[in-house]
Amino acid sequence: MESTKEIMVEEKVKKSNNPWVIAMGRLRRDKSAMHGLYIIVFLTFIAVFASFLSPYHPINDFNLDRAFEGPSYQHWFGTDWMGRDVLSRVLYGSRISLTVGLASRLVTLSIGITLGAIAGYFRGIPDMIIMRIAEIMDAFPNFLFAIAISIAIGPGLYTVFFALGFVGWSGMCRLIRGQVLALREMEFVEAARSLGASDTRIIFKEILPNCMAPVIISTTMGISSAIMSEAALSFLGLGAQPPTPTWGSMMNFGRQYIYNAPHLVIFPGIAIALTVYGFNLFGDGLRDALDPRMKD
Amino acid sequence: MKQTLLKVTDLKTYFPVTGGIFGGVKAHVKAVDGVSFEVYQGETLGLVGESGCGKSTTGRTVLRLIEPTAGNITFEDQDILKLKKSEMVKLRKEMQMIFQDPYSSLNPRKMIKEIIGQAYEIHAPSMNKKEREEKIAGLLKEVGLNPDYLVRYPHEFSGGQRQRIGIARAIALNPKLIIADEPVSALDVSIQSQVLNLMNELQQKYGLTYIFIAHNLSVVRHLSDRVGVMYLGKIVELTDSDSLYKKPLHPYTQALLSAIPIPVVGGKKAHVILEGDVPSPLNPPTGCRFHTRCRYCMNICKEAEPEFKDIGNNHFVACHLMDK
Repeated sequence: MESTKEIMVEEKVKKSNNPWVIAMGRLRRDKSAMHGLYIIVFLTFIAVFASFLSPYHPINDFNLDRAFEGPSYQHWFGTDWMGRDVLSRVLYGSRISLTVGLASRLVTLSIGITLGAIAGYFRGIPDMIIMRIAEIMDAFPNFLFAIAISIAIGPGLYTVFFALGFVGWSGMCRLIRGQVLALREMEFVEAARSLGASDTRIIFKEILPNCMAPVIISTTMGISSAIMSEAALSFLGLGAQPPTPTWGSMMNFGRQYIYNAPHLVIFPGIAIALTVYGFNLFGDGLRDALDPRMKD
Repeated sequence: MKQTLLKVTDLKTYFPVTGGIFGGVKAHVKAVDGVSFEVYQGETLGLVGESGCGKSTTGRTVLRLIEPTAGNITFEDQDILKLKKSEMVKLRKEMQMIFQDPYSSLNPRKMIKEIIGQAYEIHAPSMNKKEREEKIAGLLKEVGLNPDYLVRYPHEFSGGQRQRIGIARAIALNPKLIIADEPVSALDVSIQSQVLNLMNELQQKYGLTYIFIAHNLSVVRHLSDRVGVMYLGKIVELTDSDSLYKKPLHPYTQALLSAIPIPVVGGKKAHVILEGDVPSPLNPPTGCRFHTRCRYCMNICKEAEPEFKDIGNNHFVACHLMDK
């Protein structure tokens, strides 16, 4: 009994002792997470090589004689109201849509984690100030606020990243703060303090790694809503300017013709759904893989 | 003569209770209210008392994990309450803590080598990785664990093993004083003795000084040279453990000791049953804090607070009965 135990230990040590290697191994064995990853890689590939993959130019190749055509051999996804190839537009649209989804989440994460950690860890006056500001933020309808920011900075793609990321910070901040408040009372934090660890060290090494699970979930979920909101902002003329193709704006404009030419909405819709599905699957798997408590 | 390592004088730790619309301070929970004691080099001082009497708060305040409201703490002739933050970090090497709950005292996301290695990262940043891992492996051996465990995570261990890891972390920096906050109360009885014996061995080997906080009187007796009994934020009796267990003087100590079960079939002894509950530390009774439940309560007990004084042979008691 004892000897088998020893052997098992031996094997484990040999396999790896780098937490990242362990996590990656776990991720590789998680089928649904790998499917998610394949989808993300596939979409990234499309975004990078859109210009080689597209049969037509998404903007310049218009032909009003062939508007509103359904899917055919020449136009796999059909054509839109200007006779542009929907497939090419969907492929090109992945560039902006994916970037908006990721970049805006990055903004949300960096603001939300910083402020949430400060509020939860130091409590008192910083907490009071940060949370009151967050409540003020919440009092505005998110979308209206994003519009206001876009107008203030001036329309453009970077504005969209920032505006969509910024409106989400209060939720992320509250999520992190709650976790930090609970974790800072744990004995392992006290142990770190009794070893003489600094506040920064405690926040980054002890507390934040333990808040990852809800952050990963909320981030991957948030990517989809950011893609949709980008569409709405573009529709109002505050995001990427038409005729630049984005999935959101394609759906928004296509909506008017939904009875006659449903393919205008269906294909970008499928693209958005696929992205959301991929990120959610991957996020789920990532959360489990990064948790050392999960069984191998 | 025994050398004093730690001296605590009139230590007070109050927690503010806030409330009302403006969040003003309404009252104070007097968790520790005027505690004085000395700890000698190489000894074990037990602190006992029921839950909420302030024993853990006392331990944490001595380490400055909680800032005291008033009082003095002198460690090796240094007033630690006057130290600056950076000086305090240096001093932390000398004073460590073993925690009560082995399930929450180890960060679940860190490997054992990171948990213990943190001590070296902070206090010996120049030590290279290999040297550090060798040291940690040595520590694991010291506390009776397989050195290969250093690449494992806390959830892979049992409660007793986790507590050993906690002990390894506490001794990593060769401290002089270790405050053990109910180190075995979360463990199975069969494991308790193993961990206590380990603590004993380490004390012999490294000349450690312990402040041992517990509510289990038998455990305290097994380990302590001297024992302090706390009630509602004050020490009511402090003496060496033999005289405390044989001849308790304070009525509260008598009641506590009479509650220890005797491991003899049919063994009986007179129980001193305390009536009522512990009064709230928000608003402790006047005079002697124990007078509401004391069977010898006199008029003076309700008015004047008894002095905590030596009645001979380093036996300190705070009780008006001693004046008679």
